[in-house]
Amino acid sequence: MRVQTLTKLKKNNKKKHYKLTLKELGSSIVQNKYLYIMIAPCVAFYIIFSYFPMYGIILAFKDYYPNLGIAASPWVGWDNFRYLFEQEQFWRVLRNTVLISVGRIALGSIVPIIIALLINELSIRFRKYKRVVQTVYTFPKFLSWVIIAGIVRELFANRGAVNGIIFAFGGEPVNFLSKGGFFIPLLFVSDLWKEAGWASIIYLASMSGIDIGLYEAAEIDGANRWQKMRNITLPHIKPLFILLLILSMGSILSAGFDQIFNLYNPLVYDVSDIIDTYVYRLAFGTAAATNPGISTALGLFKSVISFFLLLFTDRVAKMTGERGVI
Amino acid sequence: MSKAAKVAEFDKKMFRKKGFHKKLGKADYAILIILTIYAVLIIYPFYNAFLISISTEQAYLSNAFMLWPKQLSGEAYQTVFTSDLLLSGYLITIYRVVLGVAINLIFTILAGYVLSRDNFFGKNFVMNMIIVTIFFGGGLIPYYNLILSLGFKNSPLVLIIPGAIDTFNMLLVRNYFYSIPKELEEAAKIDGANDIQTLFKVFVPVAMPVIATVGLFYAVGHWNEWFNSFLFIDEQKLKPLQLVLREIIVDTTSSLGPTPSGKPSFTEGVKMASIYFTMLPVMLIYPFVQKHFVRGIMVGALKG
Repeated sequence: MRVQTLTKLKKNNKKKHYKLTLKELGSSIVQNKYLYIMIAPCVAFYIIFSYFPMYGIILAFKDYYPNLGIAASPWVGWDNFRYLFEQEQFWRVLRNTVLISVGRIALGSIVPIIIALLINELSIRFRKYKRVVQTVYTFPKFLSWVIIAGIVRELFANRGAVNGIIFAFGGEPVNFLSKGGFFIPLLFVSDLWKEAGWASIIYLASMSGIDIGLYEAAEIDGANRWQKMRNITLPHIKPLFILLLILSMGSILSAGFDQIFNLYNPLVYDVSDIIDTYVYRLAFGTAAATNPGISTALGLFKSVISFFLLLFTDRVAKMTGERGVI
Repeated sequence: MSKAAKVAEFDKKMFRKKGFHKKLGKADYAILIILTIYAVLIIYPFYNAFLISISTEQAYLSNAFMLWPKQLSGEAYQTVFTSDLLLSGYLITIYRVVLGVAINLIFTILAGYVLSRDNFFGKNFVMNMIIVTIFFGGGLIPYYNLILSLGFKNSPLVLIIPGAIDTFNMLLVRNYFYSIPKELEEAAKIDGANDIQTLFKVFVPVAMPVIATVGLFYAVGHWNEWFNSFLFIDEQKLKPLQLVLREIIVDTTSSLGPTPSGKPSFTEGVKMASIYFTMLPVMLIYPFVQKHFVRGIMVGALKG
């Protein structure tokens, strides 16, 4: 069969570095013409929506005038970057991004494991209840940040429910949404509220793959629940934990645009303005604040750093014997 | 052994294995209580939002922390249900979910199939070309300019075309196609089927579970998407639901105006009613489709 021979050819190709001759290539393409017809619109999609905009990266090295367009705007070399790095605003935004990200990653890796352990340890007699709580825990993940932000804003508003509780106990109402010291913890809590339940599912799946014989053997040896958890369950999910941690390193400079953009206000820009929100305001904010060149430069800075972070963590993971991601 | 006896035997085994025979200890109850508290913490904000949406303004102002409704009022929902903005938002969102998911699936299945075929010369090149886009993009302004030059500003197409393929979903489908035995394809080819026929008559039916999962991911994505429309749509009647909701919640300037009876509306109540209006479909459908989402994350975790 033609299909078979080609697969074989490919396999030989790998072993002996056999190259297809032009003629063979031509006949292969004719033979499989439908594949090329089918992939064409998809390739076109990626070229138009992902690769065309990449041309726009040159904006980072230009002084952009909308009426001139990208091509005709004058080149300025590294001036945009130089200007950016001189701005105090840039360092503030960078610091906020890293701080918020580190907090999110730390909490977002530990809390789901705790939830998964608890669900895993719940007695089988409550299996129906287990299914119900899992549905409850994972549900907020499927709502948009617009909806969650609406609920959070309401809950922590000056006259909202949380202040209602404080008031009932005779305390003074707190302005959670406009005080830096409260706003950042609020970001962490709302993020966990939305994501942690869903993130625990993947650990639960991994835990369900543990051989029950291991637990039985441990029981015969007299291990208690805590010892079984520490010596069987936790070592089993360790590789997954490391893999997810590596994956999150690549996004350390994305501290959650959707969440912050829908929750923040100028009063907390000091602590909550991150790279992505700053890029947005530089691009489309109030006229005085906009600067397309700087915005693109900052975006490029973020992409490049993220890319190298990912490569780096992947290399480190492979060196320590874990499965890499690339 | 009869089938029933086998089943009984199996049940007994599972009963022992899974710990039905064990007595419940203090720790078991502690776990039960902690899990319940966490569930209450997840549910209460929704419940509170619901109570506010059916309360009067006086009840809200006296104390927003409520355990049960105090003074009932249907005004917030009246305002919401008579709002042209929210209704047109609903229609636009339904349009984008239906048409959008159809286009998503066609593109995703085509790309997933071709990229899983060994006899597609250039597979690695196209794969790498796609993977790069996960890590690298042009940024906000170039993307904005591109959409403007395509003439998508204030066009319903902007809700559908720029997101036609989600790379992660595509890879999910591709990996599933890749795991389908080669013999199946060969059998179809021997019967004279070309690639298009093989895909839709053999591969798609076999891959239906994963396609359903991916379709659901796309559907939720469309229901929740707001940023693209936020950037490119400023005509009121074209705004999807999430964007309308965002304006009601975030922009204090825009509101739905007075209640149908002409009284000034209770803003917080209207906000919460709009939230329920927006998330109700997700809330109603979610418990029934949860298992598909979970399967998606499993397949993705095993392969990726």
